[in-house]
Amino acid sequence: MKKNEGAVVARAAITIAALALLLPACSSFYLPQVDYGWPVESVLSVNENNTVTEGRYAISFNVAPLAQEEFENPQALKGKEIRLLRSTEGMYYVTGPRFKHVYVMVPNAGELKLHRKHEVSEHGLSRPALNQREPYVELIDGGNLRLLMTSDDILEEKDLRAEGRK
Amino acid sequence: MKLLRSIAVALVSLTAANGFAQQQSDYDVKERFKATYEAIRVDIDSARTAEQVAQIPHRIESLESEYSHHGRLISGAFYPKTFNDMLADLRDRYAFAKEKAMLIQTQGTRIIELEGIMVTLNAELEKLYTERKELLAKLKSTETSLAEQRELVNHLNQNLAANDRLVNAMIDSIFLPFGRNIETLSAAEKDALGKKLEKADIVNRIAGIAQDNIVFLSSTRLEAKDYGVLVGQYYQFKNRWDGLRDKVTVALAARNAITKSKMQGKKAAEAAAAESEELAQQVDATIATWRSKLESSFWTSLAAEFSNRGVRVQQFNDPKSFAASIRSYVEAAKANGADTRVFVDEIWIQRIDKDWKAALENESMLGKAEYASLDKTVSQLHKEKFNWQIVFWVFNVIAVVVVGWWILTRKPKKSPEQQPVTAKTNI
Repeated sequence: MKKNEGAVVARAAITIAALALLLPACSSFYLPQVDYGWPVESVLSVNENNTVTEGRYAISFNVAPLAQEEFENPQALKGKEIRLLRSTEGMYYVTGPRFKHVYVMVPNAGELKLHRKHEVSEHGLSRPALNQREPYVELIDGGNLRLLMTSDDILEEKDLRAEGRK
Repeated sequence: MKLLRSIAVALVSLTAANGFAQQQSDYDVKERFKATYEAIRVDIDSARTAEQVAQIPHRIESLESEYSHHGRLISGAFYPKTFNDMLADLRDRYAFAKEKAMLIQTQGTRIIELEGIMVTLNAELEKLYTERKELLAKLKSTETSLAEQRELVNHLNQNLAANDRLVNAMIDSIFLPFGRNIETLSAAEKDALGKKLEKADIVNRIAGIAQDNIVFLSSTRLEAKDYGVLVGQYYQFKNRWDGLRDKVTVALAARNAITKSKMQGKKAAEAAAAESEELAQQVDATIATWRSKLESSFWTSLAAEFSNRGVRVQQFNDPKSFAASIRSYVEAAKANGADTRVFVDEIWIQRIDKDWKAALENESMLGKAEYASLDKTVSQLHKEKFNWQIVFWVFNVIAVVVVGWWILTRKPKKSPEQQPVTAKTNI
């Protein structure tokens, strides 16, 4: 009986060892060091259908939910301009004149999903611009404001000074 | 101390500059660069004088120094063009503009002189055009008599020939300063040539000649002897265009490539070449219509010479089928012994050999050798049919002459009593 138990244990050990060797070979893998970053933001006009189209990077989407969220009016962005920049990690940063926020959107199948909404201005931005400053995205508003953002945080002047980045 | 203060001021300036640079929108940098770049490019392309060209290098250098620290950003924003590519493009354009300005200056006098000739030629061509329109209108009118119509056709033909000569003179005046081999010309020279061709509207003038001839053929009742001149004129014109076509296309393509400012490099050159080729193809098409109209009129009128006299020959619509038709008729006539007097006497000798020969002998139609061969074929038929009669009549005439001569010159026989008595000689 003891002999049989030993054989069962040995068989189980061999099976586990074989699975341990085979399973990694079947699993998916990742390509590292992807840089999704656009060198310069795109300034896009919202058309009559409430959509914007970026020609160079071939992306288009509807901005009605964004207008609803920011201005509580889905038509508020029609005929206006928005500024769009993709960060190196692949997030889309969206903002525009009169916006109080910068929206960080993550691409999903057939949609852009809100990842974070950075509050950047109490009264709305006047002349916003997004710059690629790896590993951050910079927001400036004329000469009045300068922020560095990640997909989760905002670094203000004092943080920058603390980091020695000014 | 002074040195320390200078270093401190420089550090403060650098920090301020850095701070300012960091406050700029990359998008604005890109847009400003693009606007300045485009302005310089437009000024280079439109520069005509040495003074205008002389201002360019400084502006390119300023652009380079102002934006060199944004080089990476600009290269990314204007991908696939890089910052260096764009500056190199401006420098290439500058070199080209400089060469062009020099060419304009060195050839200035000659060009002004030739432009004077061009103005005169233009005025003459306009005069001919007005006259041609009047002649065509008169020709279409039914009020003119046949004799008047003949007069008009002759006049119109002369007008077309003069127009052709003037356009040729104009082309010669344009090409004269550039020599024969267009391929060896520099891009600036090709551009200058293309510009002159464009200004003189040469391609449209050439197409216009072909078009006028088409109208002429459509509105004129031609006679057999007219075709000799018309066929000759067509092939002369066609050969001239064939020789000119590539030169004109190359020069206009070079010109178009420069004017297509929005596209760059190879793409612009390809698009310009395609556009010039399309223009040349339009002329080709008009000339082909002229040929088809002329040939259709020619072969229909020639066929009428046979049908109007009740002679049935195989249908023909080109030199090859015409020759085959004549040979076939002769062979059939030989075989069945048909009466070929109308074919030979009235058609071949009286009409074709007299009025159609000049056109048929053109090398692009039958050619002299083939016409002579056909003529020989027909004359054999003629010989076989009439040879014995001629021999018979010649024989008869000779016989009559000989008999007459014999009768007239015969000496009458003398009677013996009339014979003189010969004196006997004593030896």
